Amino acid sequence: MKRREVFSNLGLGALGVIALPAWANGWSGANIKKDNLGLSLDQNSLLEDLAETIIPETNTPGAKTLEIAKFIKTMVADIYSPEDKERFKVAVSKVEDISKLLYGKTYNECSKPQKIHLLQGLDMSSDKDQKWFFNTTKRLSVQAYTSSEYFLTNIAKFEFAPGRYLGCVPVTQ
Amino acid sequence: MFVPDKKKRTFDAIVVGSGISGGWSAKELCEKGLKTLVLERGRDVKHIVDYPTTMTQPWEFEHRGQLNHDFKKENPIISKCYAFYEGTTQFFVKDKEHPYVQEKPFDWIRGYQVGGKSLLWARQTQRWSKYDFEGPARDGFAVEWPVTYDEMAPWYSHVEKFAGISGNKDGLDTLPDGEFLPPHEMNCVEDYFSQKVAQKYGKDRHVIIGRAAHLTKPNQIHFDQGRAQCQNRTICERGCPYGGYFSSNASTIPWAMKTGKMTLRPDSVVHSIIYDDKLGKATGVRVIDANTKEMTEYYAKIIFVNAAAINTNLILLNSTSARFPNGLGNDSGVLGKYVAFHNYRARVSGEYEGFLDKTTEGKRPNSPYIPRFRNVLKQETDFLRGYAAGFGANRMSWNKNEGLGETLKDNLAKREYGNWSVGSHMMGETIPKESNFVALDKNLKDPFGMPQLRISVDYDNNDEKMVKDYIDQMTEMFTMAGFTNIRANDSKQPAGLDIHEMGGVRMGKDPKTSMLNGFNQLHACKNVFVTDGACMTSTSTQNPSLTYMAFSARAVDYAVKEMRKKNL
Repeated sequence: MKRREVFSNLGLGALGVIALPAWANGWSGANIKKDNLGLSLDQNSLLEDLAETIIPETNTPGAKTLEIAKFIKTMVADIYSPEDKERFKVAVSKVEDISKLLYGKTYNECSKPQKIHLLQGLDMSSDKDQKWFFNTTKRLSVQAYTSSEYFLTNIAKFEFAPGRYLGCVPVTQ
Repeated sequence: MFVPDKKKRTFDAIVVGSGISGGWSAKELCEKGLKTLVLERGRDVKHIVDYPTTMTQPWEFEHRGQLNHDFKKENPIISKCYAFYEGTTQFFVKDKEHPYVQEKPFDWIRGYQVGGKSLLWARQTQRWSKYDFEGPARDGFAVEWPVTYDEMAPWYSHVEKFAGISGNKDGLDTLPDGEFLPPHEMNCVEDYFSQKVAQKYGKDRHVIIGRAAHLTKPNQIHFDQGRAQCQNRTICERGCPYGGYFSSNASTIPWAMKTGKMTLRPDSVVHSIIYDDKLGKATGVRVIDANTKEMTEYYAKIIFVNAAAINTNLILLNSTSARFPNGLGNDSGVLGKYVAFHNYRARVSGEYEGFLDKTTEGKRPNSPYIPRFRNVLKQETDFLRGYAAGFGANRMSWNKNEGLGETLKDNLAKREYGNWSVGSHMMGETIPKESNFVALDKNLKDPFGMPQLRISVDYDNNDEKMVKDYIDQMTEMFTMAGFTNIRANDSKQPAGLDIHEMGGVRMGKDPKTSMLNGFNQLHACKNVFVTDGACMTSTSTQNPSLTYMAFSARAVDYAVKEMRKKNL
């Protein structure tokens, strides 16, 4: 990926000058151990970082505790079409390149604002695959979070067996 | 396999199938003291213990209910069914396991297990009215029904009391009231729509709460079955640990078992009915063991065929003898023909911007219902018959999902409300035709060595006109009520996906044009009865299961009386 492409695609505007190490363009994760989606170990921890950026641990559980990255991988591996699975994997493999081009370090090493900034860049990208990857990762993160036991029990006040239906109650909140 | 001797394989009655109608046949036969063998082609599913996902919480589903991509690709037909998801795959037949030939596209949705599709049904239970039974004779299609509403009414009552049907006494002669448990509640927008429709259309159109097989307030008879009040979980298709809705598994099968008269034999694929030329009646059935593929014969004085509409056709077509070379009881040549179904193709949806300070709470395993209003008292359109419609309103709400990180998390904790969404779907009567048929394929066999069925069932021009009329009328009604953003959709879904396939072994007065008489008895083989969907002369617009239950109970009553008079 060319530096110019990254900037034009991401639509992030002026980021300040970033010194790009010479090896950045050719860098790729060399780990060979694969999971059910076929991601390398490094790509796995990257996906965990992305999920953690989207749904962070605060005083309430976030992506790490709720294993959101694992859910994303399971869904993409099992539910998505082979084409989308491949599209997802290719997009994952490019995130570190983007991070290095933008900030000169791996995604994990970035500051919190930088991590969010990069995701916003993907969201605004004119590159369809990058935008799709952002939307997919965010949607699955939100799905994992809002369907988690923590969220349903504590926030949504989900009732498994409500034993009632009331057809006309005031909206509260 | 140990094959018991002939005496041990001889019963008073045999019931083929344990679904909604077979369960009723079994219960009634056993209660009348007949030693009854119930044959089920699928595996055993015991109430509660064999409902593996009944207590599964939403977060416990690995894919949150969604199905594996490759699995869906291998099962394109069953994957279309609304009730088929990660929590219910165990109760549906997979496409490849039981092949059939689609001369025309037909989505055949099947549940091969004890309880059949009664575990999975939508639980809507409306009586037919006299206008429905009189339809074919008045409008000159199919053949005249050999039974009237007045003859059926006590049997509707009989099955309603036991099954437990919730509903409101609406006093409509187009949709007779039954023996109701307390009704579910309509919400503000549904109630508003009901009132607007009443104002505009007077006595012609009604929006009522659905009548559903749910124990809203159980009676002693339901406690005696081991069932309890419905807990409004709305995950019925996984099987209900409370027995809150009616299924064979929760109700009729254990009830029949308790009499000590029933032998239940799962994994028993019925190959054919044995006809004895000398005796001039059926003597039993040939059964293929689903596991060993071995064939065994079982014998009985009377046989109830409740294999589910299309498979009942298959069994009769496959029951050939010197007397009946074209299938049991098929002197008329109508066996397998005049198959019909319900037209569920069209939906109309919209929004309502009123009652924005109101919402609903809890869950409701039911929704409002609009009984047929077209061509009820007389012919008034350029198509025959009409449609009923489902209706429902829901307050739209969502978790705000803007932003990332802590902002997103904060947003997700907030509930936002939109307008009310309103929606409706049609349930149209289709006209039985000779050209809509099922037949045995001459060469292809299924994995049990049974001939494969060729299914040739399709819509016709009457259905197309009806789809258009439903869309026009519902759009008019929604507009009149002030609903906005009204959209209509014709899914063009193939026949079959309605899961209301009916006919092929129709009832009628004349043996020359029908298979069964007014008591669901084969005209030409008096000790064989068919009381599932195959018996239907016409389809009307009601969800059919309640009528199958009533036919089963009524036919057993008649059969046992005839047997005691030594007429069978």
